[in-house]
Amino acid sequence: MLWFAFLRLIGLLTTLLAASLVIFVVLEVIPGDPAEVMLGLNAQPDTLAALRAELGLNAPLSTRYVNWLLGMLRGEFGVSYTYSVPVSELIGERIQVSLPLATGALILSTVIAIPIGVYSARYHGKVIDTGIMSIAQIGIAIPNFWIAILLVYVFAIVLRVLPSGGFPGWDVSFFGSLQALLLPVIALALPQASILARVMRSALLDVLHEDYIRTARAKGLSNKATLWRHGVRNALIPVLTILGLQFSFLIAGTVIIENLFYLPGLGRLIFQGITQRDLIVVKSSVMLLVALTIFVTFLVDIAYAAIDPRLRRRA
Amino acid sequence: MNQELPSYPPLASFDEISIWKKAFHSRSFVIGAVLALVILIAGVTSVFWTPYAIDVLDVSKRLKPMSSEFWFGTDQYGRDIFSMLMVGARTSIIVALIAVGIGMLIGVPLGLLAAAQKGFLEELVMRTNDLIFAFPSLLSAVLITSIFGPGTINAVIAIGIFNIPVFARVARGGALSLSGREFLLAARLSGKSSFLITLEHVIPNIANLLIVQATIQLSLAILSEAGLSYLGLGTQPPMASWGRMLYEAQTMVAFAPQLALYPGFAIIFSVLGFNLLGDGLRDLLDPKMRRRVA
Repeated sequence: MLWFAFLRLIGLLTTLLAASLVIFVVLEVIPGDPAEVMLGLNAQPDTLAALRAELGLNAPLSTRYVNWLLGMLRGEFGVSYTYSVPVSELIGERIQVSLPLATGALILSTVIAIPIGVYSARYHGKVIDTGIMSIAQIGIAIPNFWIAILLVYVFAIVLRVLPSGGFPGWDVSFFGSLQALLLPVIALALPQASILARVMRSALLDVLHEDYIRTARAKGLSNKATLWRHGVRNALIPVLTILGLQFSFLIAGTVIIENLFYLPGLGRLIFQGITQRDLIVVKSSVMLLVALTIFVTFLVDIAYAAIDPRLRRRA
Repeated sequence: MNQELPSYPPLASFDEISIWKKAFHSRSFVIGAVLALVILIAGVTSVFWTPYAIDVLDVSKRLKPMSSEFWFGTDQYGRDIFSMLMVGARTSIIVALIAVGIGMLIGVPLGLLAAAQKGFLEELVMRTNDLIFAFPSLLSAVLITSIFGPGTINAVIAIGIFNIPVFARVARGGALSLSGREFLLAARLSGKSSFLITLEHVIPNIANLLIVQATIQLSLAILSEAGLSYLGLGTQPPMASWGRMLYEAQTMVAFAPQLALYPGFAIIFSVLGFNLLGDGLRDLLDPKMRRRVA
């Protein structure tokens, strides 16, 4: 197990390194001159030269890449060009919105999906199962930003019980902040819950055909106890994989949802950074999100191997 | 022992008949095919004809309700919503088809190569795959379209890139599951090169898998295009796109909530259509995979 974890850790580090190289190439090499990108076409030559010097663009590419990596390792992400504050500060602020948003959506979708999936599998083939799965099928097809617009219409415009956007900040109003995140969390969670419910159902149906389920029933365990103790527990393994994958979707989803609700999160920071051509902000925040995704995949792999020893050999 | 062998109908035609018969009994397949066909017809028709031109703004006709004149009413600029939905269908289909095409054309050969040439090459292809998967797809699409400029073509490329590893993975998995099968060994014994074997024996045998995956990727591509256009990074006006329509409707949601309904329904309609079609095809083409969800 330790050896497996060690091998995966090396894989994690190489992927991180490769990802950083890709981001660096896309943002600093392909556009040509980052200073020109940031200042626009009508920039004066002397301002351009000043910015180039400030960003250290006169150094060779390899030096710039290594400096960027070393800086990030020390927790220095550079200074934002538009906000004139350290990027690490910006990220630290914004993650207080994005992290609760993404984890909230992950938890909500799991809480909705698992009981529904189990229920549907239990009544496999019955009308209720077909009904639930049809709803889930439609749920998968709904874009989260459409749900968000409808939620805003119903709860912010018609009923006026929740804010349509904005974020007061945790220290200003804790309850207000929770309220501000409620609709975004629901909008992000519902489509994911539909996918998860389907996975839960099919995983459970697969497990229920196993011999050990028959054994459990034969030794006198009740239907319900068999379902939960032997069925659901084993079916959770594929569900875990999907949860890991969904994290990446949720991260991407925050870009749209945070924009829609005017939430000052990481997704909006990146989007604004892109439109304001603040490459310093974009570079490091994208790297952070990618690193987070890679890390979650790594954790899922490890958890998977911990549950199912057969997988360790495949490292 | 002069027993006569029972006569069977020719295998191919027997298969064909049963598959069509099953197709019409598969609810997913029929509903999915109908939905996809409706979207397809709407998109193709929009090339020749729409009830109204969508690039003419006429404020005197703004926010008209549903009527026989404007089937779904008009938006805040006086454009006919039904016409815009038709053009939006065209945008969605073109973007999705080309993006999935890019993914297949590059991904499938890479996956087959990885399966045929074990060792360093396989490792390289699969690790590159993992790397692309590490980038949350929409996030990277936002990055790509913003650096190379917003627009339909860049949106297609951005979505296409993320289809490459999906098809590489499916093709490799399919090819590996065939390795060691008798007909491949026979082909090898007959002196065929691995390239020819791949072309003549492996690809036809994994075609089913690829078709099913392509259908599912089409629906994901439609969702991604809508997302990018919603953010203003995909299709640009005067071309219509469902995502863009939703973005424009959002500012009007307090006064004209119906504007947000139509494009949303159009997206759901088409994504649902391709998803059901994919599910139906999977049941028909690969009974072993039944009940599973990708």
